[in-house]
Amino acid sequence: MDLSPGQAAESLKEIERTQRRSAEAHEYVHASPGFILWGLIWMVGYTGSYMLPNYGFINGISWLWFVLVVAGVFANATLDRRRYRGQSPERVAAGKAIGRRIGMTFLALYAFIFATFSVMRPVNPVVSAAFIPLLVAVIYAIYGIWRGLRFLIIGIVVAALTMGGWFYLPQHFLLWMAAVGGGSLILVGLWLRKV
Amino acid sequence: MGELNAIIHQPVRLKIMSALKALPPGEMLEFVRLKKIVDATEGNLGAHIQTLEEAGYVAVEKDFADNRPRTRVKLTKEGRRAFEDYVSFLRGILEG
Repeated sequence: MDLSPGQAAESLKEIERTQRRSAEAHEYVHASPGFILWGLIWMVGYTGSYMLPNYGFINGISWLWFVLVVAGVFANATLDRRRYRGQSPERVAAGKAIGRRIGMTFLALYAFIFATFSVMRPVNPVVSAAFIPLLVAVIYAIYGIWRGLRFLIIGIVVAALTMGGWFYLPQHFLLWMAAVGGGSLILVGLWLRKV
Repeated sequence: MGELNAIIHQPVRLKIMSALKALPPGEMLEFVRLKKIVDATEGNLGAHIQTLEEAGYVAVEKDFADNRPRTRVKLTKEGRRAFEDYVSFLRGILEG
């Protein structure tokens, strides 16, 4: 069978289109449980910060958030293990390497946030409660620019909701972040699952 | 320049191979997700997967997940190589 350059070019385009679709769907589907998990964590964390005296801070540390983040990292690791269950040994090994990188990413973020707050010293805990979702939003936006439009949309939505709550509902910002911030992450998780 | 791989060149099979090649090596793709990506009917997709399986290009695994039957497909090493050769063949035509 002979193929013209035009037909060859069309086949290459089709390959590129399908590969992009497949890679994006793969990213979205596997990111979905993580969004639902962290949406729930945001809901519990922000509600707790709103209701507890001194925003849940004891001796300058928010133990509520500390426990929630540590639990979240372990829950994330469990989700990853489930993801690679039944996959080939080489894939399981690759998954473990990815898990290590995710753990190191969390550590790097934690160190960055700690260093930033040490230098800038937020005037109150609500400022830090706004800064972290904005940081998360920009990470999603940058990731989305490279890996899939939906992540970019998520970044923009999280940033817009955070800024909206900060400027228009300052008295109830933490409750806003619990309901709308946490809720939107859960909805995003369900949206990505539908891909 | 080699010959055109007629098995891969068929449009639906080309999409199946492309979708699987986009995944990390060894990663399996569920039949239902593959159906959406390739945009084919269940019967059509099943028939083409069988052709690719007979050629040794894909491997099919059937099991149960959450008490529901699940069919997953992955690219074999031979399939990965054949697909890369096919892409090189196409690029060769463009480069003359």
